[in-house]
Amino acid sequence: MSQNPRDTSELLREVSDFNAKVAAGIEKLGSIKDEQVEIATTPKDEVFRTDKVTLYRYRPLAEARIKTPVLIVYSLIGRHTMTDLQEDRSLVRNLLKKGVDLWVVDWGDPSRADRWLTIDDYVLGYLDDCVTAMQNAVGAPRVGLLGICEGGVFSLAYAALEPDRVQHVVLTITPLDFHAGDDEEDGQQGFINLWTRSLTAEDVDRMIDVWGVLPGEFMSAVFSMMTPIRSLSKYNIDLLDVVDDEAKLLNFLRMEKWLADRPHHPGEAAKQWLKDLYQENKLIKSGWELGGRRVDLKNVTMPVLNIYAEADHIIPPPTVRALQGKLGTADYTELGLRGGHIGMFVSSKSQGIVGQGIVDWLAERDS
Amino acid sequence: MTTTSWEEMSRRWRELTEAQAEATTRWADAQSQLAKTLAGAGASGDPASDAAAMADVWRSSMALGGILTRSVPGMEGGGLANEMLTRMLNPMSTALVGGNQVGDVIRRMTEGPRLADVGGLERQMVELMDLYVAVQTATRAYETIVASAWTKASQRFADDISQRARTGKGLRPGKKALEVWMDIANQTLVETHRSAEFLTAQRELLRTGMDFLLAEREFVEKLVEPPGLPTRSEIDEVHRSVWELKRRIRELERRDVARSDGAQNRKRSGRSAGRARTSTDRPSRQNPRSEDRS
Repeated sequence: MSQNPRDTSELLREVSDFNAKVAAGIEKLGSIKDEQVEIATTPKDEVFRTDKVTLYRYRPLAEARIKTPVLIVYSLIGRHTMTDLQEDRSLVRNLLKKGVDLWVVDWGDPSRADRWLTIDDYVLGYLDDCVTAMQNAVGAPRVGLLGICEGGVFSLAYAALEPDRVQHVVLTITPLDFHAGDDEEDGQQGFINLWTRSLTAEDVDRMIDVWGVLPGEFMSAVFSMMTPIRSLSKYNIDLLDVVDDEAKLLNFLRMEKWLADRPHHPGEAAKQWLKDLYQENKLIKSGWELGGRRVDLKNVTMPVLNIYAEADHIIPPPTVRALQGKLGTADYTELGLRGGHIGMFVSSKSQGIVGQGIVDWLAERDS
Repeated sequence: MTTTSWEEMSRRWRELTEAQAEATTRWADAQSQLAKTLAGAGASGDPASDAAAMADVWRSSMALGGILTRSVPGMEGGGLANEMLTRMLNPMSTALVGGNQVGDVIRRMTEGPRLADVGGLERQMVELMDLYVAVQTATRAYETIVASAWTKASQRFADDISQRARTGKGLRPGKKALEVWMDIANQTLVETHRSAEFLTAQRELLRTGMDFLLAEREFVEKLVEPPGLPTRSEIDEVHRSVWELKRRIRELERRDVARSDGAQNRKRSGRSAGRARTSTDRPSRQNPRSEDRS
């Protein structure tokens, strides 16, 4: 980094450009209104509500092509609004435009008062209620489930416990064999797996004893450890890179809005998630129990599509690609797509690809 | 709390604070030494100045982040996660990385009198202090590892610019240099976060923190129980009862639905050959909105 006069003059110009960009950026950011950063704006109607959970049905954007209603089941870590970030980056819109009757369950904002809720309650209680409400509304004998991340685990467990009520299951970025990838070289294993298994079961219990929930802020901090400098530089360097392009700036802000809106994970359910699954890996061994019933993957007899992101560093592909030969159906498809855990849904390059992959698969199985 | 216990605690706090201040000075000296070391290793014009300049750029860039986020409605400060992470990763937060002074004070404190002659609350207060000190010790150990990662990143950056200078591909100051620094720092921190040493230190920090918070809760609950104020444990119990009741209601509703389904099916089979029950016959458990409309 030795300096000569040419370097000095370049540096001065860069500093001058930088200052101008900062000044323009501050003015631009100050002029943005809240409504410009709205996310999840695709019209939908509330159909059913129980406790903090709400079931919505999206209004159609095209003639129906897939008869079976499909329910989006998102994770408790994060919020489903990511699937409908903005008009041109929306899995929801892409599916609606292709004629899917789409529904979504919003888990609401769990607080310390919801400490005792278990995954049993979510799968056999709330999810079951949503399925019933959908069946009653449209008269369909079965519904389709589209699970995302932890929501994929909920969907698969429900399909195993209530196979007669599920037409097909689409899993996306869903951890299934939580210990897959253990043999990978250092630095290649999933960080969440590494982090969770650095704790003991007693550590997890104590965290929930203290906080009552797995706080959203805490999980955000854990995720941030995977991209530490990006987490520190996004509001100065990354933001400055997009500040003079309104479309990119608004996309950046909407993404930040989604990231900042991380609900708490109910405590007892978090214990099951971290201990039963991350630490003991019970799901893939068909040794997990919900409501006193064993989640036997051989009971999953309906078609299953399992989509993973090839560059997913939160849920690495080996942890997802684990169902071959484990299910009770021969109609099992794996689909690897470019992108990361969230990028697969929100990046401009992936738009249409995920939706098209899902609809093509559904169309062949919609009886 | 007796005057003696307060005095004892005050003395301990004073000692701890003094030791931390001394450790801070030592840490600053060490950083200065590091800059000199880098100057000796660098092959470019003035690597030490470059490293210092880079630190300035990085700090001002962090400050800029604060200004920008404050300009966005509803995004002030970037949220607790960023704040927490910034604290975790900011090299300045390592200012309390201690040497033996802190360890000595902690040892003396933990080996001190058990104060068995004072009352239960006072003793519990002192135990709480011990747990707090354990949190501070774990924090120091954790910060030491994070500080080492930043030091390693600085060293790697200095090596990188030296190598570039040797091969005639010197790095010009400005954004490109910042990008190189960020890549190197990111890689180094990611390696650290995945290391057994880091994960163990973080777990200890979490454990000691949880132990302290649980003991603190117990202590506070002992204080608020006599005047009849509700405690966290009681509220947790109430929430548990509500959760159990809701489960029982759900179970009863389902039994009721199953019973009425059975009765309907019996009626149908009496009237005709009978249609097999489909899951669409299953009523929604409850839907206040649709009930309101009905």
